Amino acid sequence: MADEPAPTGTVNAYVSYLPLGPILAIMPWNFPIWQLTRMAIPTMLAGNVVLVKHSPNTQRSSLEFERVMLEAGFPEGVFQNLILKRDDVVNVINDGRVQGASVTGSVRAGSAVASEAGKVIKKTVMELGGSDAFIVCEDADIPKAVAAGIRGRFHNAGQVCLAAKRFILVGKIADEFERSFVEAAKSLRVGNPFNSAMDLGPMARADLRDSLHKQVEGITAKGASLLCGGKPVGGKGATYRAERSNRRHARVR
Amino acid sequence: MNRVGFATVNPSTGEEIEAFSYFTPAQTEKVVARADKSFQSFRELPVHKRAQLFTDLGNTLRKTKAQLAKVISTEMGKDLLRG
Repeated sequence: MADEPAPTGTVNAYVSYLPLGPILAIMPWNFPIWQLTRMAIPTMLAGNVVLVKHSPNTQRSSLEFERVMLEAGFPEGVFQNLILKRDDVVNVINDGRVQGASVTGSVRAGSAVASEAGKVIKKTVMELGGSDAFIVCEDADIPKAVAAGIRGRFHNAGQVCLAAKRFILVGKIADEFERSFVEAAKSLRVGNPFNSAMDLGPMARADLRDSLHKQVEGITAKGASLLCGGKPVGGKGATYRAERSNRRHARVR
Repeated sequence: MNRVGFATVNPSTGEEIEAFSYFTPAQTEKVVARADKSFQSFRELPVHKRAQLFTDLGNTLRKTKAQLAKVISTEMGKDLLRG
């Protein structure tokens, strides 16, 4: 954080690192508190203060984090929640005292915030969705690869920005991997997240579960075959049977 | 979700947890003004003191972990044991 000399040979010049001011954080529900620490630590170590607009479905988690910050000894006002309607977020971005925005979330949310911030020339940091491929090569240790794939696909009920979203299998090992992967996915126990015998809790909201189910129906309609799961679990919650349905016939040689 | 607020819902059961009201413009103003004011002193705090606060935060988080985990799992269904 100290000034760094920038020798010019003529004048005394240096690079100085200064905090910007209040930064708006728009944070997601998938890791409600971890995301806040990840954003707050670098932002606030540099001397900035934070305003958080969290996902509505995890509002209490965010308020609890604010309380814990105070309990840990942070001064009042350096980390605060704003419970905002989506339409009101733009007013905060436009507020002259707010110096920047940090978004973790969907590409759509990131694009909307970056557009508004861009109009008033404010800095943004974006951490948006991925579509990461899990590639299994011919010489892979299949049980290890399956275990890693299961973790990569189903951790946090699959709701991770860097989850293994597509599996690319080299032709020779494709059948073997698929067989063990489906077997392992079938053995996952889905249910109450407070029950330690369960491997998977529900998805975070019923509408997210429903839109996943629509996607599964969409790809099966296009000819993909359902190898296991693929339906909502009965009852009132947002639980979904672990699925791995979308085998496509494009093979990598 | 409506114009005045929203409720959180436990995704394991579909039951409502609690209701929140959106901030009014006056409430938002108060929070932003407080942020701006705190910034003026927080920026002057030496960086090692800010770092110490985060070390303390780490300890407080470890101490309150069980309680926080319960809030998270209730709100978004995270598997309690595996995070």
